[in-house]
Amino acid sequence: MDLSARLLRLTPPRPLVVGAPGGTAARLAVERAVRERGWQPAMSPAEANILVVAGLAGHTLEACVRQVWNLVPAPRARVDVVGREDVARLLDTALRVLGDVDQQRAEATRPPDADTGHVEAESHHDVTPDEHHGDHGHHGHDMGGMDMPGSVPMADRADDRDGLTLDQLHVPLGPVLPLWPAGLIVHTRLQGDVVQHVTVERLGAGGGSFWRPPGDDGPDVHRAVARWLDSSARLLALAGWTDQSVVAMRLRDEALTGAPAAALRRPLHRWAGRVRRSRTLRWLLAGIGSTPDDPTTPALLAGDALTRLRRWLDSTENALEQPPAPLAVPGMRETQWTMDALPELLAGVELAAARLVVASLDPDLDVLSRHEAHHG
Amino acid sequence: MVEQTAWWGTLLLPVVLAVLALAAATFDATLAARSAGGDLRAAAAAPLRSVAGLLVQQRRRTLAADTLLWRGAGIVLLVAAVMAALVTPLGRWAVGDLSVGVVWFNAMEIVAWAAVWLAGWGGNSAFALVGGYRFVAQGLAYELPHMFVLTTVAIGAGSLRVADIVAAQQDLWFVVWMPIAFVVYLVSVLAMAFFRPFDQPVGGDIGGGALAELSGVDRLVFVAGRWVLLVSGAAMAVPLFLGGGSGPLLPDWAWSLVKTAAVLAVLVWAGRRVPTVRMDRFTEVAWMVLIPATLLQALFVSIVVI
Amino acid sequence: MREIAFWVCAVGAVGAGVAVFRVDSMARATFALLASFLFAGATVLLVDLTYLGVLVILMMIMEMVIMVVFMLMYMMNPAGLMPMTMVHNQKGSLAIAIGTFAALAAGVYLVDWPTSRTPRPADPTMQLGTALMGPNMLTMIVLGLALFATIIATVVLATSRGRYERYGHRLDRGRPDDPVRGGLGQ
Repeated sequence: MDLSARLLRLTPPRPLVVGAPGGTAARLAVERAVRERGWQPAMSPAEANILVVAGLAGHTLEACVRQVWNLVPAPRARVDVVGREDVARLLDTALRVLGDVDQQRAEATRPPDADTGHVEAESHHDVTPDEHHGDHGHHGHDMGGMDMPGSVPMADRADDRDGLTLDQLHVPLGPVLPLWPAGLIVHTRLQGDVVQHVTVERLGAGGGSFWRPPGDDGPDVHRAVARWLDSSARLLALAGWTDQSVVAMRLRDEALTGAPAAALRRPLHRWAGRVRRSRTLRWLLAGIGSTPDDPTTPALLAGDALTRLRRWLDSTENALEQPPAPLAVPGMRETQWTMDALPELLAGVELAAARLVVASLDPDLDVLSRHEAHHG
Repeated sequence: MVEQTAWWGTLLLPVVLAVLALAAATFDATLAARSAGGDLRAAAAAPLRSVAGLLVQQRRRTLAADTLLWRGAGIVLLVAAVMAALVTPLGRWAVGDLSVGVVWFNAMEIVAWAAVWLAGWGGNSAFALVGGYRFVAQGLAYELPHMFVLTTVAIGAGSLRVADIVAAQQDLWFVVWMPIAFVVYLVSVLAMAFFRPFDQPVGGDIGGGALAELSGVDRLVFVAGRWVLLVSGAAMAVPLFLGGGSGPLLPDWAWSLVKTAAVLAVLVWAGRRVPTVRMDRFTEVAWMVLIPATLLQALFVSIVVI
Repeated sequence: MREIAFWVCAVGAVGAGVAVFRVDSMARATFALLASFLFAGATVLLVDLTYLGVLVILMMIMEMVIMVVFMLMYMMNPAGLMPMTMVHNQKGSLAIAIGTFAALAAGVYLVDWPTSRTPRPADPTMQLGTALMGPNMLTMIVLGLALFATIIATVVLATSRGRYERYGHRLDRGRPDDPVRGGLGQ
């Protein structure tokens, strides 16, 4: 009908960006394109209408992405961006698909994708197994005779930190989660919103990091600045300060296109000053994710989330002042340490703080080599 | 001074609230676009386009959801938000001139507690549940200071009727000699509508919180309810603290609208300047700082009145 | 008009009360209880006690939302995914319920209710308040404080972590030892 077509044309595109391991360049290009077009990124599959996979999705990630795709309501379009060059073209195609009434009507009536494979706990995305778009559960859990709707077992109970016995939910964080490091899956045992126990898993093969290209004689100033700005933007977005996060992303995109240091210095200084001066941010981030104070902790990860954010701000400003200064970009040692330390850092922490902790550590899983899959 | 409208006033109320909500949403979108360096005119059309998009979007079903409670939550929120504005006068006219207008307003915005919790619970989703419970924690934090502020206003005017409160401000607006109450009231309006910076219940870190599983019309109703609740709260600040429709030159209904728009603009702008206030930090502040402050304000007002 | 409203509220309150025990889900049970309370609060509105009526509605909504947290926390199967019976000791409770109802109904019909020719006062809430509390205002204030002190005392006695766990044996720790840091460092 004409009304549906017109509403479809008016629909604002809301992309949900999935970062695949090794797809950092694609993710940055997609984020830049989305921001320049004025699209608002989606925070969950329910509000998304374009699913953008940035990078090449391996087997496990593809299964997760297909599950997430089942959760995206029509009108929807899926786009796989592998290289930086065809971002614009692919996003335009997605927009065209979104506006196509007949195709979307077919999408709306199509049954959910049945070949997501055996739904193991590891291959879930950010929502529990209880979620489903259709009305069949293809979860084959055995419950020993209890007749529950959807064949979902009741949650186990366990003691929690206050001495109560509460239900335990197994909620995996990642791999498909906005503002989450690509390729990281953190399997949590959640009681209420307190993370009781965590195991860390890593997806994908290391193919060399975008931020630290191998074979270079040291990181490039612009890349280093962009890395710190990217980490800061994600932390600020998770802390809820969207305006400053978007400014950081703008500066990051400008740094990546190789803008001269002189052009970047003033806006960067202004932004960093505003973030540093914010007493509310200081009050909110103090004490979150304090790393243990012993010599094994890498210097770049010492302190709490606020200290690390301040370190990023200082590094960014200093890098533009004196280019020959040593650029301490986090590398393999920091990421390795993070993967090993996350179970202790996240045990007993509330969910909001847990996400802030991971964002303040911002591990770059691409630096880890191919054969280091970690289960913490 | 404040009189009750005819029956058609009841029909006009949702329209006025919708217009104000849309204006606030547009302002919010333009502020976001300005920090992103994007096109302001396109951003101004964003709220209406979102409405269009949500109307055509498919609704979702989740496994073993409590459908009645889940889908009813948004409707409950929207209806309660509209009813909360029943006693707010537009200039000289109010839809309902209740003798206990302030308590009525408080009761209707309390319904939001139930609505957000139901939206979080009904969908059978971990993140949505966390969002719903975050709002209950937020409610416990802001509600007592909010109630003490309303009591302070009632003490200052000697009555719970909104008309009497407006009449008591003929010489001096309450905002002048109850500044703490005004600031705490604005904070509690942001918290009751779970708007930035108190948007932890629908925060991005848990995939949208209570909104995580809603799409299509359900989401539109819930989000509309949230905006109308913000507008109702801001609109109530005008008769409570800013003297209702009083002012030179313009007619009183115009002044009411201008003042409401000003309060809304301040709320939307201030909310963007601060990161999301988490309840594990804010609860102590609410109970140990805001409650004593509002009680002292109430004491001051009581002494002045006596 | 008032009669119809009263009967709607009465039937609604009783029906919602019955629903509390018929639904399988704890969340639905709590909100059915809330509906029952709201109908009862509406009847208070019908006798022109506006302040009390709206206050009952306000308080009940807040209390039921807080109660739903506890009902879900302590009860098995809160979502009603399995059918369950919520009634125990059916014969005994039925006998007690019918007996109480009979006694109250007998009282309603047999008691000689006073009638008065004086017109209803302009502000019933104020009059009611003055009549209840006027001569006993000091007692009422002290009673309120005593109740408040009792609540605080029970919470302090019930909690397993007190000052000494948080601040150390000599109360000398600078920052309290909490699992999650609070907002004021208190």
